[in-house]
Amino acid sequence: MSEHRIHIAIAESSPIISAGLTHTMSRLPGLPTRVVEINDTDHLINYLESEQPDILIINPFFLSPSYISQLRVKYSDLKIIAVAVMPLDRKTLENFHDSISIADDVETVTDKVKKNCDSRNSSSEPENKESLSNREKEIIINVVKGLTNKEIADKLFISVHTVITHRRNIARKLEIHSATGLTIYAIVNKLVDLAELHL
Amino acid sequence: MSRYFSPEDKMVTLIAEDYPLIQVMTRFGIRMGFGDKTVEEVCLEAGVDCNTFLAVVNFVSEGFTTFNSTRALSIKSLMHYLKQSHIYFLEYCLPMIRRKLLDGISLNTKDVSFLIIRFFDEYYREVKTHMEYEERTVFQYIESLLDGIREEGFRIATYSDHHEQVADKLGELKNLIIKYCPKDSDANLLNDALYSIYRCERELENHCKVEDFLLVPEIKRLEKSVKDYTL
Repeated sequence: MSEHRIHIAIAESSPIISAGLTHTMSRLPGLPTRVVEINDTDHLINYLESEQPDILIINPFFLSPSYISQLRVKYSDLKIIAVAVMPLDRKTLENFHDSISIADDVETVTDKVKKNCDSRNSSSEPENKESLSNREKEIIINVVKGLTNKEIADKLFISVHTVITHRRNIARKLEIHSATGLTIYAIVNKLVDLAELHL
Repeated sequence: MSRYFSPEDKMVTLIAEDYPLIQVMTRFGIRMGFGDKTVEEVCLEAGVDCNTFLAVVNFVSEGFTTFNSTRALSIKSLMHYLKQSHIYFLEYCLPMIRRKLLDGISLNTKDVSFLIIRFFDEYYREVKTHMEYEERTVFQYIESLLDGIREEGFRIATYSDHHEQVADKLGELKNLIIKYCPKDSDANLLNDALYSIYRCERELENHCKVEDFLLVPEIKRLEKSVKDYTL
């Protein structure tokens, strides 16, 4: 869940604009984000050193254009979006991946954020809630009975790799990542009986 | 989100405006009963570095979004705070949740209640191991750094990434209870247990963020200065 949040850093020295951006970015419809506000240059540099935000939304006058270019080289995965408080000329904007204006509506902003993180988060679309396949249920029963991935693979005539893929999908669908959690699921849903298990 | 607190604010105001801050106060070793004294006065009396106290207070109270402490923090005060949080989680908060779970979950459906408690116990052991590791390895390393000695084979950056799991697994426990707990459990007692889990989850997140965003950057700075010194 939390690992799918888009990590956005906001670099803006005006507290009013910064708070507005933070508020807006924290509640983009259908787009879970983690937003961090940074209001001076040193902190920004430190922050980029230690964390890897997906997107940096920055006032074009927060750093010099040449510094922005350096950031783009140094952090090639980072998307840098300019926030335009007043109209910006094309030359300034060329330095950024994209720009948003304080006049943009929520849909426009959401689309821009989405567009700029699509390349890396493309795997997270079919996020949730499909029900389990019979094969997956079979895997759960065997995990709960204490079989190793190798043993399950041998028993079901599939590769260990496939077992691992199934387990990953199960964890995602049920939001359960532990064997004890799966056991609870299996018992409540009557996939197994506690008497069969050696606990 | 609340306003930014300053040394001249009365300590009592700070709590009136954002009561979860009493936790921060306690962990810094500040006791209640401070009358109308300001934050600065109370800190001075308690021997707490006021700047560090306010950095944590404002960080927690702003919801961890703003980084604008300009003065260096007292690493010793910060570590004291973090150690006290460890004690709080291991000796008070988590055992309290376990008791509440035992009270709330119906034991008629033995299998599931047994497994939920077992899940909790596994979780407790993980948190304990993690916190003990921090105290033994990380804090020890920091103590030496403060003495100007840089131990080989460890960098603060190695440790920054461990945290997500600690809070995530509590989320899983919460989900297991909400989705699968026995239907004949006592609703009010179980709600109480869940409230405590939600609160603990948030407190753990806060705790980890203080480590990641206040302690770690300070240590990185310290690592650099110790290196410069010995060269």
